[in-house]
Amino acid sequence: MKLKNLAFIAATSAMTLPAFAADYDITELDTLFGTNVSNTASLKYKVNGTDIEKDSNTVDFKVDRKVIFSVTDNQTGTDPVPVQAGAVATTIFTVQNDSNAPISYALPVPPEFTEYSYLSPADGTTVITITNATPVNSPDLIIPLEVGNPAAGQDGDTIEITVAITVPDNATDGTTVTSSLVLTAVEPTTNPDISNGTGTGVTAGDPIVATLDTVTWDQAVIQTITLPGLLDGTGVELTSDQAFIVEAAAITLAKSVRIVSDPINNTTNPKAIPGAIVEYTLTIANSGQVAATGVDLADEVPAVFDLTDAYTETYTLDGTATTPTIAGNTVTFENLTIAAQTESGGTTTDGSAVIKFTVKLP
Amino acid sequence: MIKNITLALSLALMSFIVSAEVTLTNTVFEVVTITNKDGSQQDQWQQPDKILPGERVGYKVEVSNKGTEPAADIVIANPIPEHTVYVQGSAKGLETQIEFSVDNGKTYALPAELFIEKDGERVQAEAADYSQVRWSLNKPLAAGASTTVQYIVKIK
Repeated sequence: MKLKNLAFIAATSAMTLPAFAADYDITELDTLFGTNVSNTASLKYKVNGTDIEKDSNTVDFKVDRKVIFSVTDNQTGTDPVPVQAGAVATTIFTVQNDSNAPISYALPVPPEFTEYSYLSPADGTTVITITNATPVNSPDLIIPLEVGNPAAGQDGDTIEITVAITVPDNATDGTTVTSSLVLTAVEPTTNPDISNGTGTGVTAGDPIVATLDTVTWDQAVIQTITLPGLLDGTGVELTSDQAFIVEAAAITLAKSVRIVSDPINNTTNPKAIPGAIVEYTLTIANSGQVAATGVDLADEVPAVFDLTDAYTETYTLDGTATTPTIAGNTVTFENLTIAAQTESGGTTTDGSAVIKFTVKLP
Repeated sequence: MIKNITLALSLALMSFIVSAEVTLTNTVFEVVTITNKDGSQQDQWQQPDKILPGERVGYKVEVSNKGTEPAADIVIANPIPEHTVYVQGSAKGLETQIEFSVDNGKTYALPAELFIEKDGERVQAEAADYSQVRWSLNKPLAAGASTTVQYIVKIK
């Protein structure tokens, strides 16, 4: 599993920010956003032998919100990941909220041929699927994630988001397809300082921004996001990509013809005269990384030939007799398999199928 | 009899007056590390702004004798706030003896003499185990004088 793009990206600048400071230990993140920390000192002393005790004033502050979330994907092999044309390229991204507060995440409507799906956080079983046809104001585009139980040293809550891209049938070999997940941190419905009424001006679903100045929070309750290097007023986006490389068959066809013999010269410098035997060779090559299957090859020979007459010679596929379908002057070889390109010792060899057939000039 | 009552009232009144003449002021700061031009680093105590888990907060407690008599045997105690841990070596106070408690202020001792029970064994207490810090001034605080003690905690 690869850890992807821990750095946050400022939405307006697409600037990649440094990952969170290495000295920040997530397990220390015990104190929840909005927690009040209170302190009162006490004093004892004597004046003229009289014992006196008193307390100081009490000082309070509230712990601010620190937004930390990360995403990992389930790809473990080569990168980019091979995928065949026509297949579905699937990546499971795991989003984890290690903030000291609940955070919700907004998904964009996926691009064409792409679907997002996840289990509803509400019940943990309902599969929610978002397609390119999902309305932009769909509530399903907002995923709430609660914070974990930092007091118990647990990691934050996670959710798996599956991104499935249907690779077009006609995608060519070597094409790169990128599975991309873009998450924007937004205000959750369970924000403690929304629920207790001390904060105003922010509603669930609002993008979380990197400054206090752009929202009208009660100044007594510090409400902001603090991220290293994040520009004031910028939203918090996290992107994660997984590249796939299309593996498809790459077919080429070559056709050649030669006169094998004639009634006068036999096989020595034969001529195209009546009674000559003509050999056609059809070579199908595959330079792609996967075998081509179900290949049908049709060849129309000149009308002068009669493929059904008694002169028709043997049809071969890679030297072995085969039986094509003949209709008029068209000969069709069906359901062929052309092996993928192979490599050995640094030398690549295309897969191929060679068809030969001979006919007689009338 | 009347004299005795008068004396008692006078003592009570005097006690009230002197108790009002020594003040204790607690102030919280955000402690940040700044880098000087020469690359050296130092702590700076600032007005608290955005305090996050993992960051440091400092408390300065000022005791001022605004009376006309010296105040003796001054002891300032401060509980380590919930959700924080004491930062080792951060408690300071001129001409004070600084002690700590690991039992919510029932007893105090120097760090080397503090022990806790851990997994059934008696082990040396660490800074994270401290529940209180206490400063005992080594000499009386003269009338009109003041002194400040301080310490730093880290937000869990």
